[in-house]
Amino acid sequence: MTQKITIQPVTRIEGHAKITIYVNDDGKVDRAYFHVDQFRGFEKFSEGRMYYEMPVITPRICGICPVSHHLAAAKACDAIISADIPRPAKLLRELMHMGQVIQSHSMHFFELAGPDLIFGWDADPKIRNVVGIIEANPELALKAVRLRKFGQEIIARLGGRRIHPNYAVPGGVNNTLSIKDRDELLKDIDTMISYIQEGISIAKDWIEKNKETVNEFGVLSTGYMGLVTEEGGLELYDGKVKLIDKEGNLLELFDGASYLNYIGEHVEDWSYLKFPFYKKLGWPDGVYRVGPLARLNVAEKIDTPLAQEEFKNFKSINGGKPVEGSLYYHYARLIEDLFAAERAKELLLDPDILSDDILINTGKILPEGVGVIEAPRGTLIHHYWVDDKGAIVKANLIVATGHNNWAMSKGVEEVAKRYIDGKNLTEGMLNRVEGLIRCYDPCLSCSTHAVGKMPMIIDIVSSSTGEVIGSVKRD
Amino acid sequence: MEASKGTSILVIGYGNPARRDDGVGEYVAKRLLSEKEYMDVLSLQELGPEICEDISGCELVFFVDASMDQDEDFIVKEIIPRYKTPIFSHHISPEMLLALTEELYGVRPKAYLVSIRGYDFDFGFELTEEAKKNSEEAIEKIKEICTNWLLQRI
Repeated sequence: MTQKITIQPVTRIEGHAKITIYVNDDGKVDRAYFHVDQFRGFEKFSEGRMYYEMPVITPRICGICPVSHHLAAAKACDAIISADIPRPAKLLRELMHMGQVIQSHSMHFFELAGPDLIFGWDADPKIRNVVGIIEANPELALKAVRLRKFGQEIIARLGGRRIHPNYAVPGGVNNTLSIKDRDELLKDIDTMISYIQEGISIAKDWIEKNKETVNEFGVLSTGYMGLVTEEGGLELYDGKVKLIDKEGNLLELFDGASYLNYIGEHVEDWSYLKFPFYKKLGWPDGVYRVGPLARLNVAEKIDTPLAQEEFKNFKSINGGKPVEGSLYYHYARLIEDLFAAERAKELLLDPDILSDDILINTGKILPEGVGVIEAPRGTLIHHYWVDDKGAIVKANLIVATGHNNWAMSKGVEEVAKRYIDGKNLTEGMLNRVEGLIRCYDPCLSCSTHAVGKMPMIIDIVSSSTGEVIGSVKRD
Repeated sequence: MEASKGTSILVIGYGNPARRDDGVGEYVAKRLLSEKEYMDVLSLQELGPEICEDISGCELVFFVDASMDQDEDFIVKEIIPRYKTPIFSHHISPEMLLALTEELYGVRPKAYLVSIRGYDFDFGFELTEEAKKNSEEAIEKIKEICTNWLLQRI
């Protein structure tokens, strides 16, 4: 007889999800699933709205990465009005995006993944959290808060609000950057870079001391997808979409607007969240991952000096081939964090950032537009179809957590099989399963496009009878 | 919506205005902007640790949120710092924020959680009439507490 374990909620992830683990009479795991329980409704809600409202409406999908939705929506609107926006506007949007990446990545590492790394999987849950970090290292915790605040400050100085900016508009942005605001941000940026470097040291030290775990935990062979610059460098705001296979061979390099030619979405009856895949390889051979690990796997370089040094170290992990271990997401995330801070500095020092050439009007309305951006968690696609007046007829949003859906589900199964003993269940075992999901920093508010109200459970279920024999609930 | 520096009272309204009555926090924050000579106001979709710095500069803090699980039109209760691992990654409870503020900045302001009953959390930007009425009543209560608190300081 097989039993089922369900984890609900997965602590410290966004939104709603459930993990079900089926175990047999010997306590061994047969199979496991990562479910997303909530149905997404934001696309439907968008229908009938005017296209230019989307940069204001879609950030409401998520309180964590609203800037990513804001900018992806603005880029889709640029396409609808067929606007090649002025360079200063691109710089300003990218700067705002760097603020988003800094606050999100810093928060994740120091306050969400950090407790697992600093205290270990088996540590008492009472200390294995952000409070434990504060007590163990208050200075580090304060730096984490300052980093998060700095990222938010970039967003606020441009958009006027820290959480839901109203800044990017079709054709550009609606406000210039003052010299005073630029100088205020520049004043702190080197300190922020040093804080991130401290985080990188912690992550590398942890990887070094836990090599065996890192090299066997959630190791998956998949393709990888992310934006790259013209020269193949790491890119978060613009560029072409690059897709590579598990060996690192180039599969596709395409303009984001043609994503429907390459990406299909598979449906399973046990999850509302769809499973995107590379069409030419089909389902499930065409599964791929996105986010920090994927972006560093598809990139050939990073165009800022300190991040490039770390990137070389990252590339050496698997001899230049894609790095597959899920725990390396944490290291990759911090390298990107460093890139974002360095890139923010470059942008602030660019004379065009102060220009008032920030908006272009075309008077055109094309029938559809696509905006693609690298959100902190991975590739974010906004696609709108509009009528001749510009009202949204249909919208399609593919979010990072969706792209990683297969990897999270498969990773949960792999980790459960490796660590779970159904007859002797411990907190540490369950935390490893949750830890796999935290590698991907999923945002289920985004993926379900709904407000996060529902928790997540781990259910232990008998494979043969379907009976729930145990349940762990986090609240 | 930003908190400006210099006053000792902070009102933080939070929730998602795109989910109808979940927007009562923002509604209250906007309404209280007119009282800004003696209070700072923040409107957020959710609470994050960076707010600790804003809280650390205040002596009296209100957290205003929507509630699906109460029969009362609104509830105002004093809260104290309490450590609790957040369920969802980037969301932190008011009690946890107070605990972080105390731990990081050594400050423990008086704090209230104002829970306003909501009725409709579907997609949409309009509050229900009932939620709006509850919010107005909660605003009056917040102002009353602030007035009494200020009077005690004279």
